[in-house]
Amino acid sequence: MNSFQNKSNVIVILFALFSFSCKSNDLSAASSCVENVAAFEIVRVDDKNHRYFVIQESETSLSDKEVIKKLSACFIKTDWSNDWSISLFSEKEFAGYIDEPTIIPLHSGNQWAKAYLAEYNGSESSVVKYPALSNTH
Amino acid sequence: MVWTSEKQVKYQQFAKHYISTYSTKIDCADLGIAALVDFSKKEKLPIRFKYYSSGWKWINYSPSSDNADDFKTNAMRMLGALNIIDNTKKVPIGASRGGDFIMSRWNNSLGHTRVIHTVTPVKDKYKVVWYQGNLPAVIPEKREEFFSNIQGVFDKQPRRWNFEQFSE
Repeated sequence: MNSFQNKSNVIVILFALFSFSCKSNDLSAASSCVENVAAFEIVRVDDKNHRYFVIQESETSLSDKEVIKKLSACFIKTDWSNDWSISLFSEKEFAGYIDEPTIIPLHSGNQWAKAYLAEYNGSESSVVKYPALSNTH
Repeated sequence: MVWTSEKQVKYQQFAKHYISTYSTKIDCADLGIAALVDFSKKEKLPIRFKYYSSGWKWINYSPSSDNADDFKTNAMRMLGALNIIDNTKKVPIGASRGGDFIMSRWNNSLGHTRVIHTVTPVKDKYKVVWYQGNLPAVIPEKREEFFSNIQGVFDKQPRRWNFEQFSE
């Protein structure tokens, strides 16, 4: 292997490492950004589905449209860009999927559905309020 | 066109491939509805879903006059797991196939839909592989469990689309 090839390999490796760390830092920054948008607190992360489960520490004065716009900006330059989801719950204990063993008991009295306050969808730039109360799930 | 037994078998194969390759986030009931509508679109077959709203009502898809994508969007918006229960009928676990469902009903408005991929007899039990969306919506996830170990199965049996009602 000549010195040019060696240098090329080193550059490729450094670039890959830089790219990886860059993405990680971006998502770390994204989470801080999301928490600042509307007084959200991230209580759970689903990396596979690009989802933050959040609760809200205080009400925001921003409109839904403004919140979505700011959330979208948080994810620019991350792997979640245009494919992020924010699921807003009233309390941490409710932050989960409908079929999870810890959630199933919370379907009594429809507590979980009432606590699932909103779903922010980055791919559609939309928000659905009380998505589990639409009687279609 | 009508839902002949040959078409139903063809749907089973289609559904297995559909649910295992679906790659965007989706609600649990919507995965089953999407598979059915996309197969019906391809094979030019009718669909009728019943739902309750101050009495039983129907939404219909006719391949000759309706847009399948519009119908799918509408059906996915209107219908959920409890509606799938209303539009399916019980089948024994030993006879269940790809595209059948394992349903749960958590309360009067919430349920859960698992779409079966394969059922394999293992001694005196049945191992089930299924795919499911979720709420909040997820990329369909593959799950595997003995049928007898799945908690909260509605009516204790899998369910199959009531294909007979689609052609009425």
